[in-house]
Amino acid sequence: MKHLAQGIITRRTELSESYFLLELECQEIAREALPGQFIMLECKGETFLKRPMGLSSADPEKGVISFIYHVTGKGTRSLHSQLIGETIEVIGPLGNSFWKEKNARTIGLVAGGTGIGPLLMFGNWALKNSPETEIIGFIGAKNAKMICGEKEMKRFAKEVYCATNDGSFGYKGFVTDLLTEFLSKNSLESIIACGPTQMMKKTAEIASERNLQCQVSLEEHMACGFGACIGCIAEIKGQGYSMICAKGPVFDASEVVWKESNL
Amino acid sequence: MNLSVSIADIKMKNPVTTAAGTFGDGSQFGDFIDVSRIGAIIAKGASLEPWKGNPPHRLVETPSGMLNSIGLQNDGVEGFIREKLPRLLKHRVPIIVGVFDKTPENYARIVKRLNREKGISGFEINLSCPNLEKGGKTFCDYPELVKEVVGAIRKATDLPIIAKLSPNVTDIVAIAKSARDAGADALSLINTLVGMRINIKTREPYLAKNTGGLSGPAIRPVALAKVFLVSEARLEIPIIGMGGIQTAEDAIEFLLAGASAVAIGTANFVNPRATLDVLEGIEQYMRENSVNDINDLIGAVRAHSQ
Repeated sequence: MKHLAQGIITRRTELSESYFLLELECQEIAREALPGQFIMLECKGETFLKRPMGLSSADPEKGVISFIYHVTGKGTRSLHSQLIGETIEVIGPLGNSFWKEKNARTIGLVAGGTGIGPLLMFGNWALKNSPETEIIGFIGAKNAKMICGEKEMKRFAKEVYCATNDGSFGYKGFVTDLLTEFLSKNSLESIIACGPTQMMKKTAEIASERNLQCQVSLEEHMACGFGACIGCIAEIKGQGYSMICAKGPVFDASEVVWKESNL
Repeated sequence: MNLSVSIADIKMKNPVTTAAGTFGDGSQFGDFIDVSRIGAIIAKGASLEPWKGNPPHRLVETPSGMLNSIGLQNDGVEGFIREKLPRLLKHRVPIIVGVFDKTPENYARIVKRLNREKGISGFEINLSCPNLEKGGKTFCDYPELVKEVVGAIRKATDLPIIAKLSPNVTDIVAIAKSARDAGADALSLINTLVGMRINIKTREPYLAKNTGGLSGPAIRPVALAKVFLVSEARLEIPIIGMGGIQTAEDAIEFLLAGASAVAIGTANFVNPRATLDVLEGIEQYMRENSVNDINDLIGAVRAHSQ
């Protein structure tokens, strides 16, 4: 069930340069949220629409949810100025969730930017519910300072590899190049990617070439987040435009029609 | 306390309805509100054949509003009847079905097809489509095109017809008159305003279609003025007011300006409880101001004499 709820900001943690983890006390959403789901968040200030944020955790016992944001625009700047103890309106949990492929024992998680959030939630879920699963993490960023969530991912992943565009930390190049290199020597049975569309598109290609099942969590401008505005669409093979908020955000990468306009 | 209003022959238990294309088939709001409490639902409805809609990006935020260019994505009238109409009718409120297409003949064919379905209370004619027979001129920009479409639909149905007019015109009263003269029973005022935003980093417009329809509180004063202008013209045709209504205070302004009902649109996206928040606020206003009949508020603005 979707809720229109009030969340109380309980903690803000800086994960890396301008990337923050925000924790909200919000019982209704914490009780029900699954990995891959998102919330629509009021950002106050000059913003009008709520902002979609992929959940990075949901603790039903504590009644706390969290998400990772990157201070980029009006909405996130305004969100960043909110203080601990303040209340913000939230709608959620929204969308579908990641699924665990049967027989997939080794899963690669490919993260870019704030895309790490939903993957952390999936990894922690897998650790608890499917301990035989082996997780290999791949994190991409512009530079060493912006690598986000490595420490958090190491809590459940067997190995975590990082890539930076400038080579200041880990592999020099794109995280998808790092993934290709990894796959030339090792194997994965399933991949989940969350991050910039270009990164997910490339990951989908890599998976498709190797016949690996691949899930991607798509992103688009959203007005409502619950299937009313039909604004956030992706083209899905044989189905025309599908609503990312209602049919996704998680799609089987092989079903997505990747186009320049997705980027 | 009486909250019920009539739009032509459509009896609404309260004046709160939804703007087409903002309320899905109502089921999207079932987790948030008791949809049966709404006065009526104006559903997006259908074109004759399915329309794929526009590519992304379809929307972008603006100061106090948003721009959209969804492109009237829909499954066509048969798809609508099969999938959406049964879900709409479950809410047990009057269902007003939106109709849009690219020729007057198609508009009439959609309405004829919908006539055969039980439970529809009326039609809202979206006139903001390009007319393929007239070189792509938008119907609602020209009184004669409005007359042609509304006239074709009038011949095709006995149910109430509500013409939805655009604010992007020189003289909305002239358009309103031609809609009424062609047989429209009521007017929806207003549709979105044409707007645009450009990303200065990429120098590309944010929307794939370059321009889109501006909605939200940014357009509310414009919408209110249009309702007032048409109401002042005394055309003896009921008006459903819409355009950026978020709160009961906003809605009451529209009633005072001359709207017999109010539609909540973009606010539904931001606050899925908006319809009932507005309704409850109107009830509170009536109690606090000893208004026993909502109809006493309609057109009750004390306009300054000119």
